[in-house]
Amino acid sequence: MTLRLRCLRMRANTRDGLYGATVPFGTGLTAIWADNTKGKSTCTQGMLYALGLERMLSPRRGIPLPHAMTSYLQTNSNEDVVILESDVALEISNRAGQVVTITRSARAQTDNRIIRVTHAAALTNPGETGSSRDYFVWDPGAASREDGFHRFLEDFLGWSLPTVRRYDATDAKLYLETVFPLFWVEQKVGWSAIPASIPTYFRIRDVQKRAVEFIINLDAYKDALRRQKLQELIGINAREWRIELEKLDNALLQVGGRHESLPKAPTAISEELGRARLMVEEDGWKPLREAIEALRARVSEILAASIPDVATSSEHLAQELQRLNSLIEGLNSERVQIHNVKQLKLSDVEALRRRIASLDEDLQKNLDVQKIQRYSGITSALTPDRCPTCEQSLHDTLLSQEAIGAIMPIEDNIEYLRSQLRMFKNILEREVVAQRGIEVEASKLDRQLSEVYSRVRAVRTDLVSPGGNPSAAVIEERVRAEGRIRELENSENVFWGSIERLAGLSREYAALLEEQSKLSLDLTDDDIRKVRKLTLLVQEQVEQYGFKTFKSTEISIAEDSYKPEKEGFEIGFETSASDAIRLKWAYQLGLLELASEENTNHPGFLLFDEPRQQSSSKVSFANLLRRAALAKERDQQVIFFTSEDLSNFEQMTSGLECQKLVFPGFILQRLS
Amino acid sequence: MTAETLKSLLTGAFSFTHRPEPIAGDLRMSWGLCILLLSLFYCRGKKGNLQKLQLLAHAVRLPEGRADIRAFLKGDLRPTEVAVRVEPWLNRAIAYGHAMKLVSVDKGKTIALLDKGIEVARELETLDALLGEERCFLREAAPKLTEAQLKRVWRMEDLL
Repeated sequence: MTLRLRCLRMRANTRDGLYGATVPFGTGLTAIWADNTKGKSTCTQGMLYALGLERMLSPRRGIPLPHAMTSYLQTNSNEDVVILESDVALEISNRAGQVVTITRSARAQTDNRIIRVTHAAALTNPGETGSSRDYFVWDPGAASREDGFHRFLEDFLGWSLPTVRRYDATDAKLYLETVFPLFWVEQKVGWSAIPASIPTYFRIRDVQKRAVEFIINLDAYKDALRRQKLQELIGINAREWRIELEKLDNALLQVGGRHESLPKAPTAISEELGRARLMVEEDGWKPLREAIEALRARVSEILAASIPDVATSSEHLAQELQRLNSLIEGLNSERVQIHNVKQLKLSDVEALRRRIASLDEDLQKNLDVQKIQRYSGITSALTPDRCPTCEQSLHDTLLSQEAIGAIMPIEDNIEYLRSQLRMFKNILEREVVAQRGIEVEASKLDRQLSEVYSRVRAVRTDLVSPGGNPSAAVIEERVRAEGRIRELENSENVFWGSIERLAGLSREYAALLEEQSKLSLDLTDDDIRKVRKLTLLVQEQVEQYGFKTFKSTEISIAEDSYKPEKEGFEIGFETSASDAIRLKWAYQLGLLELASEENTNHPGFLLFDEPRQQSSSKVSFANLLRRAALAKERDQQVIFFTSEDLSNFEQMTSGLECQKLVFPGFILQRLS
Repeated sequence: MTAETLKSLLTGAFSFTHRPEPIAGDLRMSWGLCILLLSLFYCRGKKGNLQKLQLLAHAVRLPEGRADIRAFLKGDLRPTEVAVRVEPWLNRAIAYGHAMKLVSVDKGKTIALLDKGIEVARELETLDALLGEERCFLREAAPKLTEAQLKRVWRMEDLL
């Protein structure tokens, strides 16, 4: 879990030639000085942009770089030169010593969603070559698909980001944009929250908590991961249960049977499976065992009587044939009816599915309209309520304004469509069940007809056979009954096989539920130790930085929110503004220092853009620099960008073991 | 609730209130204006004639329409097989767009994006997960449809 920035290179090709800057970073503290508006934020935002992390700053899709990298830049003689092409490259390495160079174009003809990764130290050692591959950002899948850049970055850092719950109850990955603010504080929004200003628009529940849990590698986070895994396994279990039931339904359909009292969803109570019964259609619905017994009794009856010859039973056979023919007629007309009903039901179900699809489509359009109306940019003006020409009031529709009385507001319209969708989905569910019932009925009729036809064939054979022959009709009845017994016994085996598999799923389900209930919501001893160590590190530092609002020993890190608190109350910005900044330094540097003592997921890297906010005193800042410089001993990296008074800066950093970079003018300079 | 319970509740006088009418999402002003702006944004030169806009507006509404135009551009459908009609809502969207200074209308035929229209379209481009299918279709089809193809679709010249 290590991230090292090795070198940043920015290039802008202008009408006046090539401009750019190369900023090398070392281990330990790198302090970079440049005056205000000379390009410090261009550097930090350029690095974020290269890492595809611009959504850490805002949800808007756009290049977060200032004009100096996108439209025009100012030269030392205060002339503006137009940029033709520009790109940012960042060389980074990980714990395994792998070095890659990431390049992303800012202004170019190419798609800026593409990030090129070259497996070589192309900036610090320009001669080195390596394989290159393009990855994408922004589009769905950037954090999960193989070609997604954030998936690459996650693997490169050796992280395995957890899946977390969102407000709409769906699951999402804990995106990199939500974790980076804990060790990357950029100037514009980064200083506004403790521990970090983490974007909330991903709609992840307790996103700050999840991010800190991940970075400190708390067991609570592992438990959260396991809880999600269990949820997934429970879902799989339910799916398997459903598939098993469907398989059983299909098998029973063939023999005109159905099951009763089987739970439709997984159950942990195995007795519920014991109540399941198998019913078959044999002159009315009856339990399978009963049907088999009745058939066996009939077979023994036939066996006990001697087989009559054709001559003695011819009159009876003729009557039987007549009866069978009228039975066939009845069954056939019933079959035609059920076939018609089946066709109607099929077209109903199809129509319902089409209706649901079109409602889904319409709902999506309405949601889009709502988003456009809620959006605060210029796009929101696309629903004028007054005619721009004559100032008459307008309805929100592109139909003729006279055609309609009052238009439903978009929120109500969405709710209306949702309720329609719910209604149609319920109807569809009911229709599908009815359709299945009709199919069972149709299959029962088919089977009955085929049995009657085979009986007719036997009776006819008897009627044209010589008088002394044994009656084939009686033999056929016996064979048929025996065949049916075998068929029913087979389906009984299938039924019990299914019950056994469902019992297995039920046991698995019970075990999953038990494990789920055992997962603790509290912190483990290891977690508490880590949080207390962080508390000590924060207390020690705020003392050093001159925190004045109250005693440093009164500060602790809350074990439920991981935010700094005093006697159980969260400390926010109700402290003095400069003390809040001191607390933020202490917290984020504390996380970095904790990484050298405990097993955490911290990348061992920290970046502060303009840490001296709110005019924190010189002494505090000097102490921060001194403390940050110790990172070298722990083989960690800290990068500060500052515009502190240059003489002060020189004085504060003299004697410190750090890499100093001073840019007297614009950071982006014309290159020879 | 049984009929008896309902009756017992409805003892006093009651009145009906006329409720506002729901309308299809694609008849909302902002939806139509967005489609108009995006269609023009993806057209070459950020402008297009009415025929092209009508064809795109008709196709973009439904998945079937989008699939038809995609198949037509691939050569799997002949021009005579592409269903097309004049969308009255598009004409209104153009009128509003014109009044709001988003588009210009030249001789009643050519519609072009004005600077404000380009700005709004650019912003629409940056809004993720908005008009996803529609945007993807317009980005794909708008720059590819040529004048000759449009004539063949609208006039069914292949049958003449």
